[in-house]
Amino acid sequence: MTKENEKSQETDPKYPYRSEKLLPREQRVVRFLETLQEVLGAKIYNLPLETYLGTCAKCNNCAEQCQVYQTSRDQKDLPAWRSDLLRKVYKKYFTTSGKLFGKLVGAESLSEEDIDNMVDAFYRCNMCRRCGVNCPLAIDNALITRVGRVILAQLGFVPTNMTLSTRTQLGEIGNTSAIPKAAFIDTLDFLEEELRDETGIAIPIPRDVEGAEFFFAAPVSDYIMEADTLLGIAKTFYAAGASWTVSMENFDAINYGLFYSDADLEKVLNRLLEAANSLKCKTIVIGECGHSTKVALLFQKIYGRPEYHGMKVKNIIEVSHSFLKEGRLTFDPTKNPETVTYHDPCNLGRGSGLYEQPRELLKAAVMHFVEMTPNRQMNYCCGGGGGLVVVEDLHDWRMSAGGLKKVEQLRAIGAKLVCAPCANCKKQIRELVQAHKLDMEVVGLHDLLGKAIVLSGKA
Amino acid sequence: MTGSEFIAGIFPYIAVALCLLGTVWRFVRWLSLPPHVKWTLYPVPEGIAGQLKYMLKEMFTFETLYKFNRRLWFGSFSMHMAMAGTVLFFILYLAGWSTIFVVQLCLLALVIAAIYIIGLRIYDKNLRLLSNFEEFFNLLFVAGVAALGFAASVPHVSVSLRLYFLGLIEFHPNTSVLSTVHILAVFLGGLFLMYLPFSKMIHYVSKYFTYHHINWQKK
Ligand code: SF4
Ligand code: SF4
Repeated sequence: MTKENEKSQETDPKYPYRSEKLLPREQRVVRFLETLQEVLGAKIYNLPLETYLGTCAKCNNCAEQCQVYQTSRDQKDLPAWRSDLLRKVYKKYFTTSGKLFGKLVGAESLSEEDIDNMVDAFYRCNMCRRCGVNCPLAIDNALITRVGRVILAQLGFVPTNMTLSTRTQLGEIGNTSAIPKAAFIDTLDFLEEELRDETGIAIPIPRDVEGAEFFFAAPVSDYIMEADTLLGIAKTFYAAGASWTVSMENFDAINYGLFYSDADLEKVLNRLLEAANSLKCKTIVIGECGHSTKVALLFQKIYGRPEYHGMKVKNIIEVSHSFLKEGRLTFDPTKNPETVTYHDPCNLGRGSGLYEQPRELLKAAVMHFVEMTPNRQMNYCCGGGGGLVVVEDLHDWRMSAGGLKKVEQLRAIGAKLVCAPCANCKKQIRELVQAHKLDMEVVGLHDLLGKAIVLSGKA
Repeated sequence: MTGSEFIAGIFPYIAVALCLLGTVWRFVRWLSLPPHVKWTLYPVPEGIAGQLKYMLKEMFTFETLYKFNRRLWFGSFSMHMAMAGTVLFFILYLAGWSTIFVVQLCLLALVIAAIYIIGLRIYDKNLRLLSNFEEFFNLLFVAGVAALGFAASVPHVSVSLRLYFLGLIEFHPNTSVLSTVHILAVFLGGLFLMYLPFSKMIHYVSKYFTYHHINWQKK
């Protein structure tokens, strides 16, 4: 089948926000199998897929850990059931036992209805990996979800918000929010002014500084919507006396490829690495953003061009924490008198291993820190993970099945502030707070650090 | 050579060889796959000692299941421990350090545990949805092998059974000491060994990769 004689319908009325240039129904099965073949041919998933799809014991331990199933109690949210949608197909077409014994070994031919089920199921999983923590066989259903989505995207089932943003990012404008360079410069000027007004010190947000120690990129929306986070970060770098820079060519860390496409992930990642390289920076620091930190950390070696393999990738939390440990930061916690709790973003916690660093920073900078339960590796996803926070038709789902466990946790702790150092988590939790009328506010980690940081004597 | 002589004298060697080769093949195949996407799941236990501690604890307690699925844990833990117990005490029995009675107890526990899990997979609506033919077949296979093993070990024939296995180990099996039930037990046990590495029960190997190579990948 060639691309030319494929007729495509634009969107599926059932999924207007996650379908674009859809393949006609009768062509989907073939394309699905071709893409699965390509995914396996690329080899990078072979070990996880062969072990995950070949050995699941169907013990259902994953469901007991999944915040979505725990809330919905819908059998279609059983993680192993969802993974079986792909498992059956993989076994049928790509394993000898499946070809020989078919249903007897859980192998089944792919049908158009199966694909419909996948469109639903793979977008009801937050890819949060909570279910993987206590899988006796260490199977990760989130990766299966990811592979499922990568394949579906080739049929045209892909969140339109994400593809649109990525196209803009990879195009001339160079960022997901289509902010022109001049407007971005204005924004940084404005933030610097704010810093000056607030502190009386000329704290810079350095731009295009060659050879700076830290190359900084945040999700682009942060520069506009999370000014306090950015101000806190600038103050932290300033107080620690570190050299850092923002690139005028590439200041957007977002990489939606994580949620639907390896090809796009690779392009966006290399764009970022290239920007850091062209400024001769050795360490890339990602702002308060979970998914882009995870992408850069986990995919650097596999998708980053070899010349970029020597670069270090860190999240801003790790950097600020090392400043704290080196005695380069001083805080006045009385500036943050409210009770604060910490939400572990899945991609920073389970995905990147940042559990203690943010807590130590918070404990240094706030008066009252309280811990939600469960936390750290068993923390509940906010319900917006897996990129679902930008999928518009899932809003109601996010406020219910996706996010209710988080709401229960937040309500039980009753803190005034919930600190969530991830752009996606912030957006989702804010919506949860509003929808469920919780009496609390969502803040970033560096918002709090920025308030408490002692700058006197640094001018 | 009669069919029974083949089953008692040659087939066990084929079964053990296939089981070992199959296991090694699965191990080597997974080991030789090209580098995979990094997909570390934090926290990673500290150092080899930490990882060993985690693995051993999981192997001897099935803690992950214990925490979230107590009913299944009861069956699964008992079944795996009974399986390990059967092998261990059978070896001790052959060495003369244990009585056959302990082995029989393990076999009995194995039958009961496997049947219990089958029951649970039918009774629990989620497990029922997730289970397909393979799950039931594997459990029945385990129960069948254990039941036949038990039948073959009843006291009045156990002495000849011991002689037979000692002969097998010394590579001159005395097949004449076996009764029909022995032959059947050896046959079914052999089939199980041959099936094991090619079935999804290969998790005794896959776990090494899913934990060490994927979840705990550092670099
Ligand atoms: S917990 Fe692991 S082994 Fe059990 S059903 Fe879920 S994925 Fe499969
Ligand atoms: S990754 Fe998260 S949302 Fe998806 S099945 Fe696992 S626990 Fe549930």
